[in-house]
Amino acid sequence: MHEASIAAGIIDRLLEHPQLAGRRIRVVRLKVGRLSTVVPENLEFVFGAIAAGTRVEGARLEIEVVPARAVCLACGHAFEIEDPIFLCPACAAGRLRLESGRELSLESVETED
Amino acid sequence: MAQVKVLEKVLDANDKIAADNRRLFRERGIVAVNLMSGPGAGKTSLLERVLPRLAARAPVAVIEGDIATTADAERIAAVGVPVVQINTDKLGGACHLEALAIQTALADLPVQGLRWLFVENVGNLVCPAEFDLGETLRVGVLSVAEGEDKPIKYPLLFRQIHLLLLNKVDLLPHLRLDLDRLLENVRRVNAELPVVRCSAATGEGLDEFVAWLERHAEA
Repeated sequence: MHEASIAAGIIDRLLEHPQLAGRRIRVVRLKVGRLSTVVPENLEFVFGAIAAGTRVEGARLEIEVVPARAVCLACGHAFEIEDPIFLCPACAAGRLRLESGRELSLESVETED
Repeated sequence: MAQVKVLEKVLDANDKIAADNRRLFRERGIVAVNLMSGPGAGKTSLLERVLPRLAARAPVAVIEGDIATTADAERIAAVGVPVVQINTDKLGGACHLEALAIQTALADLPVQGLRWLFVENVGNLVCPAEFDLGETLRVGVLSVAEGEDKPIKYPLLFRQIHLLLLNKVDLLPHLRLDLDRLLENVRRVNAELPVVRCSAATGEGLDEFVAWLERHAEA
């Protein structure tokens, strides 16, 4: 349930953002990597609860899930990690460079005016 | 409706404080070890055995993270090591420690001349993996009683750590654990992760753990 502290962090950043001062926020767009420990449904649930009574109340979260991609440092094969197995499907080596999947970022928002 | 680009890492606030902690540790020559595991894997028992050995040579302190109670801090204090207890119920009942809690706790610890700082994270295999505390080393503890599948069920934590302590190996004769399958699951999520088999109950493997810590403290 660390989604609660993550949701609180997002809401703080929105409320403190100079370009958003005094504006009601309708949509919040996030990128969440497949390897992050955030469960989108849990995040949406606590986000709604924590946003109550602020300019973010009622805002819809749009979460883009970013696939986990890796490159094998042994053979150069690039692949997507679908299961929690961090071995190269081509040569079975375990030294990988993760290209994506750890994202947890606030991308943009839509405001009322 | 107007669109506003924001482009910020959600954990930026935590990461900035973690960077401050990391700078402080480096400037003062402190090796900070973030100890993570599920509940009951034996983090506190391992510390009880290992701290006196390290403390004989260099100053050691501990930050204990728990949702509630000071039981673990009392056990650490009993081996004569300075300890600060963080109860996350005061911080919103969180399931993990964040960098700010470490920064706050440091104010209550004898930082001057300190060599080793152990942070015993909240017992949880999910949430602590996401939050950088500014630590030098991340050590995971998995007890053999937890079964073969934990690494593939909680891959982020097993990928974030620098060392895995496989604890309670004295229980192996009593368990129906497939040790090879467990080790293969560790390899599948983190092929290069070193594993030390140990037992806080018998002391097995603790020399190896201390030697690993001392080797990595220099790096």
